[in-house]
Amino acid sequence: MKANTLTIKSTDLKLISSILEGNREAFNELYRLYAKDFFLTCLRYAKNKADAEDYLQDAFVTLYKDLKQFDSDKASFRTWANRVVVNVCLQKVRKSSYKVIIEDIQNLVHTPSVNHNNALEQLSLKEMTKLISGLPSGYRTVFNMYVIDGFSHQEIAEYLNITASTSRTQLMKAKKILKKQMSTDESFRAVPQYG
Amino acid sequence: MKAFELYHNMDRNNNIWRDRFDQPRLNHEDWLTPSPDLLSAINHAIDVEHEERKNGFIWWILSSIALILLVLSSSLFFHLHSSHAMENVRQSEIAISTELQPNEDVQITSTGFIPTRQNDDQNIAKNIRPIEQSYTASTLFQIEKEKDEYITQEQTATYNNQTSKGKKNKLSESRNILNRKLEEVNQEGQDDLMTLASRPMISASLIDKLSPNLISLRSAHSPLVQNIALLKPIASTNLAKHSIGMSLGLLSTAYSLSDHYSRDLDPADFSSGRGNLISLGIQYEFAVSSKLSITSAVDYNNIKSISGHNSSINYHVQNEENGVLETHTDLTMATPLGLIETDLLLQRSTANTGDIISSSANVHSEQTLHGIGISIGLLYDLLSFRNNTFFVSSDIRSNVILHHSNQLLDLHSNSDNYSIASGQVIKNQTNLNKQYLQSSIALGWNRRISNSTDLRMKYEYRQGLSKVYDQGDYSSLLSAQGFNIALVSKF
Repeated sequence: MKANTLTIKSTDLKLISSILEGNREAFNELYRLYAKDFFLTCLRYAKNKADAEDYLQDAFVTLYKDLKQFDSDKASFRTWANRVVVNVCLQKVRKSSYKVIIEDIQNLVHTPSVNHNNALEQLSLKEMTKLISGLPSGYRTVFNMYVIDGFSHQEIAEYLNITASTSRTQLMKAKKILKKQMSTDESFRAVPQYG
Repeated sequence: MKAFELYHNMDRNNNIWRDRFDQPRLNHEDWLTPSPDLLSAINHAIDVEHEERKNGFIWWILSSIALILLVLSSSLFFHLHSSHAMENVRQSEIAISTELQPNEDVQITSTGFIPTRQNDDQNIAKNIRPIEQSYTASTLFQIEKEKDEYITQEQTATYNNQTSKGKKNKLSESRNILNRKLEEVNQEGQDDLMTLASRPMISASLIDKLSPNLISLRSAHSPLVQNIALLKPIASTNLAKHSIGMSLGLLSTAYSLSDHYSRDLDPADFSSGRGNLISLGIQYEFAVSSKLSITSAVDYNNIKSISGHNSSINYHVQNEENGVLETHTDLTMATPLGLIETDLLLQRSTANTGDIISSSANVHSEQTLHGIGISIGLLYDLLSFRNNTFFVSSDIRSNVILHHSNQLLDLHSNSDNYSIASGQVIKNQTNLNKQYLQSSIALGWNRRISNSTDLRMKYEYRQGLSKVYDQGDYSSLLSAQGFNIALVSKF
């Protein structure tokens, strides 16, 4: 595993070096290597697949511009780049007029839900992504930032211009909604398809 | 267990979510494939952005040139306007002399002199020294002005000829014009105004024209001469205020490393030699007095420097592929601007059969910085003689790094068993400050090569004020010293 990681790192560095020298094909190769990783991140934040692709496009353009700032001593390329992608997603979410949700809980009644016999651990990545996508956008953003991307409530508050306690409340509500989705009899597998 | 029960353990569930989404390289997840057109859309967006940035830079350059041209053209306009007015003055001078008829005696009779000066009766003609026309014409009217004041205050003026009054009026008009244009007259290039002002001078050409008629300033000259001697030089107002020029700099550069950095690199026999800096720029000066100017310059500079060290490199035979006697190895190299990652291709001789060949190698790299420097400072003229001036100058420079790169040089293995065939930099320096400050002091020589053009040469020393590279305890400052030559146009 460690050798594999080193190989990845070495490949990344060579690609990045080539990109910085202006080799566009190297950038295309980097895209092919990481498009799915970062698309997953975009899907978590976006409302739908079209938005996610829009986020992904902006994210790769930003990565291309900011590649000079990457320092392999501080983090792996994937870690650094994923943070760039998250930042782009957050900017997009904010632009689409983020609202601290008191969002339409009524919609949740109609949200397809998971078979309660399935444990969280048994869910596939695709199913988990669908669950997150089923959250209202404000809850989804806070859930993504706190649970998956490792932001603190204070950081979330600063990013989203809300208070830290609001962030905590949103997270709790997001979790309750997820619980509700997973505990209902209907299968959440009917949630929007990604391909 | 029901799914919602999982949420009772918050941290555990958080970790499940996090771990599931933290898998590298999700190539097996086909459902995550974005639209096939997305890559071309991204490339297009990058091209558009690149084009916009390039256009922005071009616009910036064009705007700067336009600004400079605007300043130049406006100055040229004022300069031409002044020349035109000066021509009018000359015409007036000619008109005055031609209107004075032969044998028209213009006399000023003084009746109320200060006694001590009464015996100091000399003919002012004795003091006439022919010098350059442009200078003396104005001085003549300064004399006239002083004369008028003297007449008003202390003397009764008698004009023997009625027509001389009319001519006096004409003289006054011309004098006003001349006084306004005194700056340009003096600017024609005379040396020391104070010296000149201390002796009465009259235009040789004008004297030639007027001498049959003029001038019996009997008894009037003494206070006049004294007053002229007290005239203040107009040096401070007759300078060329603005100058603009092109400069070329050739300097030697050196990085100074922080103590920690140089100490940590010492075991590897790290060395960083002097580099060189070439700059090409535009400079502008504004004279605030006869000796002091404010200077400003913008230049493009290119800095190249070489560093190297001794490094231990092991050849791992087991890494050879397909029986080819070569292998790649990663090497971290130190430079004054931080560490760089390199990939070296090692080739071994067939004679060796060991698993690992250990040796040291001397490796060198060349660092290149391209940037724009913007400076503002002061220039002070120390000493002037003839057309030469020695000056000191000092300024503060802000340097913006536009691009930096590294190139590997001289990869020499100290082993007979393997050689370094080639190498490439796979990770450049990071943590370079995009902007760094320097202060400079210079001693220079200015040579006037025409009325409006100077050749200027200076030896300057630039000291780094802020760090070019800064990472923890490791940092470096960039200093430079060398020559700068400029062609300066005054207006």
